[in-house]
Amino acid sequence: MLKSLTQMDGNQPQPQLQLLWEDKEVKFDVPQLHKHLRSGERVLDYIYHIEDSKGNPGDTGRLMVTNLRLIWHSLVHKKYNLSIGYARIGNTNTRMVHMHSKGRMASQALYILAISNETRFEFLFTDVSGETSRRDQPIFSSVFDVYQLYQRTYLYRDLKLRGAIVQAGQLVILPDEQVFSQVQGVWNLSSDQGNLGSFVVSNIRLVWFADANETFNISLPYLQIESLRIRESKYGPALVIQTAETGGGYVLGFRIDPPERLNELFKELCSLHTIYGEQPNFGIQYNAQDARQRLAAAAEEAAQMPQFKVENFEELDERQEREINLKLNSYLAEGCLGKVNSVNGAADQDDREDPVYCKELGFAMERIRDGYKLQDLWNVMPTKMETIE
Amino acid sequence: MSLFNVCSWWSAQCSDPGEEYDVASLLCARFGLEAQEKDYIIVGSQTGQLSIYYPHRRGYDATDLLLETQMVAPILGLYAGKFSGNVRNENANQLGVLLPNAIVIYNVLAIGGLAEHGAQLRLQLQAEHKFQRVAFGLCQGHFGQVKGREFFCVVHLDGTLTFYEQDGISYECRFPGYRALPAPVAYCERTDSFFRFSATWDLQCYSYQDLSHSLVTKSSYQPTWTQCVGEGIVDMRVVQVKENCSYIMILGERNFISLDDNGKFNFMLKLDYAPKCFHSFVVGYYWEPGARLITAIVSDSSKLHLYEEANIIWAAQWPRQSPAPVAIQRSNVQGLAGGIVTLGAKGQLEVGYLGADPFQFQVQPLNMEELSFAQAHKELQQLEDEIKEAVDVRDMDALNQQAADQVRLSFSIQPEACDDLDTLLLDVPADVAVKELPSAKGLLRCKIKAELAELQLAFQMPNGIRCSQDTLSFVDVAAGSSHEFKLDFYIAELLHVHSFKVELVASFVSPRGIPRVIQQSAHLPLSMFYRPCQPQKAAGIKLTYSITSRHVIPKLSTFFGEFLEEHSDAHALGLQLLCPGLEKQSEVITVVAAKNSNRIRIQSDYVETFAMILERIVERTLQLDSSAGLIKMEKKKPKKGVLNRCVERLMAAPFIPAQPILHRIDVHHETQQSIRKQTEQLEDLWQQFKSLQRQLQEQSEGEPKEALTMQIESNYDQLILEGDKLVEIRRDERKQRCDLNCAVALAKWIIHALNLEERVVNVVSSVLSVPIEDWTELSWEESMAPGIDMLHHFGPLTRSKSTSTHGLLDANASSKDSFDYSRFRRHFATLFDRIVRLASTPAAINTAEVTAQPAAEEKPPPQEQQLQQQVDEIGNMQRMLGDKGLPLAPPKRRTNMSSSLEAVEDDEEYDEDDLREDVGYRKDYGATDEEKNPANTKKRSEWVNEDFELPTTEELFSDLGIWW
Repeated sequence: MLKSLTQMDGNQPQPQLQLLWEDKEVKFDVPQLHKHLRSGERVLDYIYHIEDSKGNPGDTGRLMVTNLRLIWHSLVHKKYNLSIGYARIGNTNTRMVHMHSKGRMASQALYILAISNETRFEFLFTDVSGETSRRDQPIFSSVFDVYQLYQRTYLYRDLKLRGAIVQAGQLVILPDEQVFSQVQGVWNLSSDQGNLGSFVVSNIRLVWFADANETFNISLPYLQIESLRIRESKYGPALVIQTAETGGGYVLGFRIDPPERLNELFKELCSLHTIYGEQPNFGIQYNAQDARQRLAAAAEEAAQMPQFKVENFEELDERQEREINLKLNSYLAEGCLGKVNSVNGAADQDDREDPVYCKELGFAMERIRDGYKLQDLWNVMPTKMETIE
Repeated sequence: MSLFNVCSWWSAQCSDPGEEYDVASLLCARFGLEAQEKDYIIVGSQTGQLSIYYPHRRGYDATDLLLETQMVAPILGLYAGKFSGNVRNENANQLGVLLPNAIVIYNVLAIGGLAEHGAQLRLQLQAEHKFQRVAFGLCQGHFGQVKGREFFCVVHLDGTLTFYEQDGISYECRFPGYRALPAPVAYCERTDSFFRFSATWDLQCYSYQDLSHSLVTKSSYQPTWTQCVGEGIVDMRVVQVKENCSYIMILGERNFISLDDNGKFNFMLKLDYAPKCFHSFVVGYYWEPGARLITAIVSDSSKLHLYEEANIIWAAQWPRQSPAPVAIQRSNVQGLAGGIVTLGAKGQLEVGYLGADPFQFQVQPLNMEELSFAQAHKELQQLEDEIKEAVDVRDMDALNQQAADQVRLSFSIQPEACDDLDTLLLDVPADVAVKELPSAKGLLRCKIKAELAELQLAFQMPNGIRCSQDTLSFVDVAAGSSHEFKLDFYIAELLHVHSFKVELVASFVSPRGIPRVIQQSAHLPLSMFYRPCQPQKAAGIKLTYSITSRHVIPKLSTFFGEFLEEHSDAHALGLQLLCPGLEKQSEVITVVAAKNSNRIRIQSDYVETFAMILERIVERTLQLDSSAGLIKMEKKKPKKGVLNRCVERLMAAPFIPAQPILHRIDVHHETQQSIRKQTEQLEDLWQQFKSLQRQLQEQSEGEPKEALTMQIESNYDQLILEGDKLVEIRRDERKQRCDLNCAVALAKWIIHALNLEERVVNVVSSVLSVPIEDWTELSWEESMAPGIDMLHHFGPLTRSKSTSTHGLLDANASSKDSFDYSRFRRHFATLFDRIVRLASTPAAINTAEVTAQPAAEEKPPPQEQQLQQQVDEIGNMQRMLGDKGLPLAPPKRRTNMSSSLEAVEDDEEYDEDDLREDVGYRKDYGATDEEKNPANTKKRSEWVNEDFELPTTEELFSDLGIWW
């Protein structure tokens, strides 16, 4: 499709956007973490008197709720901190815990399960203020609110193909989005015959959608654009957009006639891309003050009748089956060895063997290591039914 | 069995992250778009978002989403099949999207691209069928065993079915039965029949032939077979397992059930978890031997259970602990055969596979200090101490003291009644407000010295009295805070009040969860309930108390200061009850203090007037006496044979007005009976009402309805009438309960001051507890009967000596029988009788003697003789009580007894006969007393159990939970 790669005049190299990792990683003890926020990253709420009960018990710290991640840093030891990207959060809830110190008083805690690189991290942030009044207040509500907003605003940050973003021939505009120009007659060069469609250029993203099929579309935030170029193709000069690694690393080609219009658009896109790079908009609009007021108003109504809630209390159930047969033990031991080896070899998920179809169970399954059978793993204890016979 | 992991192979978040997905939102299907096609995953949300995914490899790519579109209405279900005849491609399936008011059939068209992001999918509208009725679900299949085509029928919310057979042709049909609730319907191709789960928890099978015939002829038909499943179901699915057999797999709320297509139970497996969703399939081909039926069930706790038939063969856990999926499918996606496709309630779509590593709960190793044994031990000790401190109840006094220190209460009620009650503000009923009854003002101050998690203050008042503050509750009370409440106590119902005591119960829980309760009480002013009036000379019931305490002046002003002027020397006081204040009768009680002796007589015609007056006399005497501080009422467990210590301060003449009390019980019992009868009658009418309603429902449209409507109307009128009657009776019952309260309280206060063994007083007082309680299942009489029965047969009030076994048998027999009121009444009467006799024994003999030889020998020797006899008597009594080792009662008591004799001369102003007889109703029972000494002792031995060493008494009473 893009045979000739001769660079057109006037193509300056695009400024590389700072790679967005903040929402996609879990990091520990990064020096001065809480002082170095990314451009466009804003702290939406602070929650004080919080302890990281799993990692740094005893240290009082504060939680910072930004639009990309959750930061906790100790106010006692400068080097202890945590950064949890919203994209890595698997499950969150609040629970009542009984503090280790302070006379085992019940207090509220935020539980977060995060999964990063196939590793599960559990975090427990406990309110250590010791104020009983905070126990029943939704002190962590901003975390949930922002996390939900984050989930709902992926169009600001991620490439979306063939989404439901166009309705009745009109692009559905996001909040805070300003459309700068609309260009009709844009050919998408991703198929042989080409698809005729339109561009919509806004302050956040570039959208193309087919005239004939509005479900065939591309919503590409500037955040996911690695480079913009004009290249010669077999269809003539074409706008070529390379998406970032996190956006799939696709090469998208578009043709616009005449070339003057193409150039004009290219310049516009370049400058928007640069402006965006300086001041990215991650799409999360949240006012902690407003939210608090809203909550307070709602709580006032609900607080007329203080009530005991079962779900605030965690039931302790320590019955976990511990009996494991010999064969399974050795299997487990081997498994651990294998893991150690693979860690040494700096391997990750690519290294993992592909699952195979297991006829006995009727589902796809991880390959069982040689010398073992399904039954060995399953029959931990001899079944009583068999012994009776 | 072990627990393994479910590993994630591919996952995506559907575009609507809200809780908008359910079991019908997920579909795995092929559309016949290309040669080597694998399964597409289609998701439709309740917000109308339709997404088609095609996973290419491990991990999610932006290109895995092929199409996303917003429908105009919520998506109720997604279906794929050969729904249309006009398609060129034989293999092509159409996509059916069920919306509330339409089913839309789309052809799915694919347009390939040069790159993956160039491919596009289009939905081409093939047909849209709109409904008049709202849809519930859809059932598809080769109805009538047609080849190459699939028909479908839509189940509507009103339970009707609409069949769509050829393009654009539709029929409507109803299942037989009157109430057709929407229920899942499944089709079985082998027998060409439909299974429907009815509202009565039955699985019903209808042949397609019957259904389709009924469409044409409108004839009625019956299910081919019906099988009761016995519980609600989560999902249902038909799987063909053999050439000649299909199974209906049903996931119930508690069981996993399988039936064959003839309605025979194949198996029923009780699940020990709450199931969320399931998927059944056959491994291999059903027409070949060796085909196996496998079922995957997802539990509420995110566990996947695999069963072969009913045997569990694998169990795995989703490690994310996220909420369990709401839908599960087995699918062959590109690069993964037999993938587990699951959809969460919030649109978390995942393709997973079974892991071969056992599930282990892995937590990152913590950088924690090494646990030191000494420190841990110390901490444990500390914890144990804390727990011990909280649960140790050996020293109750200290605990109560501590509790009272933590929450300091001062609760008082002003001794004067006031008249400025704001009846409007306090919402006093009009009939009470009109009487302008006096009210009382109270003040509650509480200072909280320790932090509390919860604090509750509750006031306990007799029926009819209300407090302006209901229960007060506080949460998270800070230490050092103090509260002050101004309270108004007022009469809110026109009932007889049995007590003027208000109890305040403060219960609180400390932040560590230690509960404590403290109690305080205060008394309402008597002037709230009585007003002075002219004393009455004669009355039906007369009671006498002798004030034996030296610290209490036996004058009326001591007890009823509020009704008398200061230093008044009045000897008679008439008091009239203000409430209920009926017009026909004025309930007056007269209190007379003897001029020259320490006796007080209370007389009235009405039982209800006594309770509060007696309470005042007894309480005031005890209070004055203990404030003088000479004798302390230690709270020791009373020993056997110890006499009632109350008698040292005041003693009641041994008389209980049993007849009026029993009369109150009779009235109360009758009302209870009539309530029961009335309830039964209402129940009958209600049954009639229901059956009439059902008849109306079941009547077909053509029939005339007039007769039925008339019946319903008259039934309804009657229902309302009888209901009103019941309300009226209940109101009466409440009044009678209060009257009975007063009567029982009266008996209680008399017994409280009787010359009896202290434990007898305690037992009887605890049996006669007020206020009495009626439950719907059990009236007060019924609940009292066993206790009274026990008192009758065991313990100090036993009649005969050889009771132990006989009594036990008797008690057993009576517990088996239904409640026998006459027996209860008899026992109650004898109970009073015996108490009176027991209490009057020493005095009675004396009286007998005095009356026998009064006029003849009026000189000192008899006095001495009397004294002699009294000593004998007391000796007798001690023997009677079976405690020979016990020291004789203090000599003071003896003189008291004799003084009760001398008192005969005092009250000449009032009815002398009465005084000689001591009290009114005695004659009815007093036959034995009239007789002479020898006979008397004989008789006495009959009814007084000389030997109290009954083996079982103590145990029995402690078993009964009566405070001994």
